[in-house]
Amino acid sequence: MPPVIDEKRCNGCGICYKHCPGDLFTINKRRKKAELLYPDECWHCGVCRMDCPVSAIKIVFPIRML
Amino acid sequence: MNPRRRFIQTDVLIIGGGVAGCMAAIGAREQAVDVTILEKAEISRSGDAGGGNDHLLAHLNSGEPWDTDEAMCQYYQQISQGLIDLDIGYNLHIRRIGEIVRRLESYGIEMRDPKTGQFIRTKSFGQPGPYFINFKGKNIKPVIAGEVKKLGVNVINRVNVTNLLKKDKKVSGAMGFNVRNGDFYVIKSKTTIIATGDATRLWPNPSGLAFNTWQSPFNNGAGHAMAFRAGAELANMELTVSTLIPKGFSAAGLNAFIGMGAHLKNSLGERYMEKYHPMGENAPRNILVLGTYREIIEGRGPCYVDCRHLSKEAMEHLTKNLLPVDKDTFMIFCEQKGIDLKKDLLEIEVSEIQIAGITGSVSGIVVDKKGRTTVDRLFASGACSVPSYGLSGALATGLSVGIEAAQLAKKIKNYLNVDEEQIEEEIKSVYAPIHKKGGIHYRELEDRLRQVMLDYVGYIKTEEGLKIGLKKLYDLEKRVRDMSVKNYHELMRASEFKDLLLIGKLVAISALARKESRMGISHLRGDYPNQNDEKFLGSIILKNKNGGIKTFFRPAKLNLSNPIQRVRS
Repeated sequence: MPPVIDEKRCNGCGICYKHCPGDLFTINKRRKKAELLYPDECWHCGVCRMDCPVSAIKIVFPIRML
Repeated sequence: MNPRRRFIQTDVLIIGGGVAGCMAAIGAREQAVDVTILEKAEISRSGDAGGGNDHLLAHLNSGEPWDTDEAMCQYYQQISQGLIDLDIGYNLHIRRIGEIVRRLESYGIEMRDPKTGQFIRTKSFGQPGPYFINFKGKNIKPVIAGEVKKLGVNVINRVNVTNLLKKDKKVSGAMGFNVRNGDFYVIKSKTTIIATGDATRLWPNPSGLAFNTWQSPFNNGAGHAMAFRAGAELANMELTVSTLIPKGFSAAGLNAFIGMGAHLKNSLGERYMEKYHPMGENAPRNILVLGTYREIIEGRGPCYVDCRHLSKEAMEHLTKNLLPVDKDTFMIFCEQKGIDLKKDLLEIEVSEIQIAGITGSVSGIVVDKKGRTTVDRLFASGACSVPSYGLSGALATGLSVGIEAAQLAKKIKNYLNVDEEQIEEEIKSVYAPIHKKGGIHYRELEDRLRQVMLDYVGYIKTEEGLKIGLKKLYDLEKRVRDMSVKNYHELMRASEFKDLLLIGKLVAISALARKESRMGISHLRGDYPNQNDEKFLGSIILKNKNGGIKTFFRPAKLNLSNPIQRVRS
């Protein structure tokens, strides 16, 4: 489900958590990585993808949309 | 439950920090008053334009006969069928369009082609000339939010407003909660502007994914609902909107395809829109949707967008500057679907229904030519108000109403006292789902709401169906007391659901009252298939009367004769 976080790239900066209009992310404090909590509430707006400073987010559309 | 309480005082309170809310904040703050925005998300990326926008409805007075204030007024009146008083549309929106274009340029948004220094303009949706400026609007929202912050507006993000405060029949502020930590906010204000955008998520999307919506799924009509509860009039809630979307993905982009000259074709290879409107694919949006809907139900589907004949330059502009700017993920979707617009037809479908403030939509909170609702000290702007008209309308009405609300606030000396009882009651009601043990999860109720709306208040309605639907909505309302959530994020969704349920009832009641069909797919009655101007050329007004929902009819004011002179004189 969109968005997919590349954990190798994610530096836990929290921009996606800050900007997501749906409040769908959290930052796992222990692992210092972004996590998507509510994949089924995604608007596919691409804000997290656009604003990620290390390009760690890819939008992968669910099969039922394709 | 005893949440931590936070008290704030401000001259002008703005509920919702999308484009309209941000422009209202700018307009108000420039009048040197204190301004506070309460935003459920974060203002840099919230609202319908959060991910970007590629086109702006504007006339530029270039000397062409279609490019004047008068021509824009005529288009405005024609597309809204006179259901928006042109004096209001002109005063809040049309007369400010030039200023909006200049302001966006001064904020650093690239409005012109850098190579030529000229505006790139395209035409669609029944326009008499190319009224859409194609611009580089991917960052329009963070840029405008930056201006808001520069001016020293108090921005409070992640607060979901649940209700207005009222004292002595006047709006005196608002209440809400932080969607992450649960803190309860009480804001006292001299004037309040609702700028909460559309009401989406009320009807299911064909993909079955409720948040896969054309306009933002986080716009749940909270402003419509709280204004109604506070006694404000709403208009034409039955005149809903839909669009044409790529099969599976409810994305913006239709204007871009049409503007660049793409064709709409059925499975027989016919350009079917010519049957439905003399302007063919340039017809108003609600006719494009109705035509496509008919093609599909009458057995000539699927339908497609065909771009294969476009020139290399047009295709380049479409796929680089328009589609991925209006919807960041549009081309990513095409790629994952395996569609190459140069070679392939793109299958389309009719989107979910919504109450959205696009060009030509006539539903929402009733305002006068200063943006005042019918309740004292309460204003509205942008997609939640009647004269909304998309991005252009949100920018212009936001700015206009911000200025008006600030000017009234300056005349008010004292804040009204807050009614403690109202606050305690609100806390009890808002936080109830978080304490409910073993109740029904909010999502189950919201899914049920969408099911009823599609089955009985959907694309084609009948009196009997609407009555059954309404009964099912009242039955669903009885279950609200059993609703449960796990955390504050879900509490936000539960609060959204309660507002959506109210709006669902308003739409059904309003649709029962309009015994005709009007505006293409917007309002189709199976039992009254024709438009009846004699009885229904005007607005169905909804009003809260002693807790009950009352409707009455207000005839359209057809004032094509010069609103411009009236405003100037």
